[in-house]
Amino acid sequence: MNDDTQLARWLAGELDGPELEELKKSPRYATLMRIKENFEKIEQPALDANSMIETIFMQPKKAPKVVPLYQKAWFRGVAASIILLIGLGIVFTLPKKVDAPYGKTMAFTLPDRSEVLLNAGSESGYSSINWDNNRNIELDGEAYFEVAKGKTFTVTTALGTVTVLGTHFNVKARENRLDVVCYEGKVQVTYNGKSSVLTPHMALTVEDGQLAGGIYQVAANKPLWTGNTLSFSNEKLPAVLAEIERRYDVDIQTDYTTDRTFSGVLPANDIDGALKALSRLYHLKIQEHGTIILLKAVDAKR
Amino acid sequence: MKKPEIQDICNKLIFSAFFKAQAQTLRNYIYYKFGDKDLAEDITQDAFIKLWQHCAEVRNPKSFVYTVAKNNALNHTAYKKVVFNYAANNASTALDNQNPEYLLEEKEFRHKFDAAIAALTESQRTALLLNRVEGKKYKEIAEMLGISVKAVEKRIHGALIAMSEKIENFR
Repeated sequence: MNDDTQLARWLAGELDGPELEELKKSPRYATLMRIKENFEKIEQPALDANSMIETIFMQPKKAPKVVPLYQKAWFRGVAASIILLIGLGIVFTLPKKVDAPYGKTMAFTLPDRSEVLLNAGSESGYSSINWDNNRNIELDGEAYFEVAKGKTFTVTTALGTVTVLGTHFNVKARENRLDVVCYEGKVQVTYNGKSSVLTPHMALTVEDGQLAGGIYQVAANKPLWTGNTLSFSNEKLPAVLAEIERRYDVDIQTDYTTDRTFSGVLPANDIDGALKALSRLYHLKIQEHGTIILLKAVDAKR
Repeated sequence: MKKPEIQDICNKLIFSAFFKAQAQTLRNYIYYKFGDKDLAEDITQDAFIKLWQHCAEVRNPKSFVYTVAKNNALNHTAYKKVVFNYAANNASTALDNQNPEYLLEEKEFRHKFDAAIAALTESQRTALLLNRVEGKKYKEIAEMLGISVKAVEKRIHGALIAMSEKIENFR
């Protein structure tokens, strides 16, 4: 019997039947219950997080320590340094690759403190040599960028190129469709020899080399996928399923085909909810075969 | 459970998310220790500033801010007083619960309750309030304070005994 932890276990609801009955007979029980009830009425003291974090970011960062290297036998030192420099040159010319596997998003910082958040199932690459004068990153998939002010910054995809100065924007290059949304600043999208400029809250879609629909508006200040929501604008069903596969790291197969595109949101943290919503809309049945999720059409005529 | 990925805390987006997840609890932990909200905010802010400045060298951001905050707290000993905010009484809007006798009795009880909290040892008080007000499980509290779950349970048990005695004997 742990007499010196009993009340902690009572509070956590861990006492078994007989122990609890015994405690209820104690003359102290009424007061304990009163204490417990009073706690339930108490609110957590709230913190003004936004103002504190602004203060934190205003602090100057300490400069990194610079350690000088002294060499006594400088002949040997020079030879060694030359070989080392050549070696480093080789290392630094290799493009840096950053990938986000299925099921994960990956955030990283570029040499000029620009920030990138890769969505699941995306790959990117850039060269850090002379970055400030040559800010170019290659992207296959989807990423959200917060670009520091500086010289021209470009995102190169197989479907088109996005050029900015200092801005916040989202680029999605999947299969044959490029979606770009501008959240802050100005963004130029070049595809197939044509180009369009986007200002804040404007977005465009290029599908099969053509501008699909016009330039449209987006209400949010940041892409929903950076939170817990997947959002789709006139996407074909296979593209929707592919995004679910990447975000949740699952395998979905279906024999159902349709021309009905999907516009709307699905949860990114509740796979059952996401699949149920889609199944209701397209009249599908969800079946699980081992690790594969099968979506079968309920009504064969549709 | 999968280990969390080591992510770049020098990245503003990641730092902000980490801050939003941890700062309130850290501030409240220090507040429960000393009953001084301004002091708690200063210590918390200072800990996160140090994290931001040393972001490239820190391996475990969570234990870093807790260690910095606790070290800073070692210099203080005085306890002011934790003041509780009570939620508006939704459950007892029934007329008979609003009668003056009931309200007076509730007010008196809360007075005894506050005195009982103030009479706890610092370790009893922080463990109990982290559980009851912050909603942290015993395992999480053990991690934050650097002690065993059993030690947390002992502190909470001791706190409840002390509080019930103090309240019953209040004259």
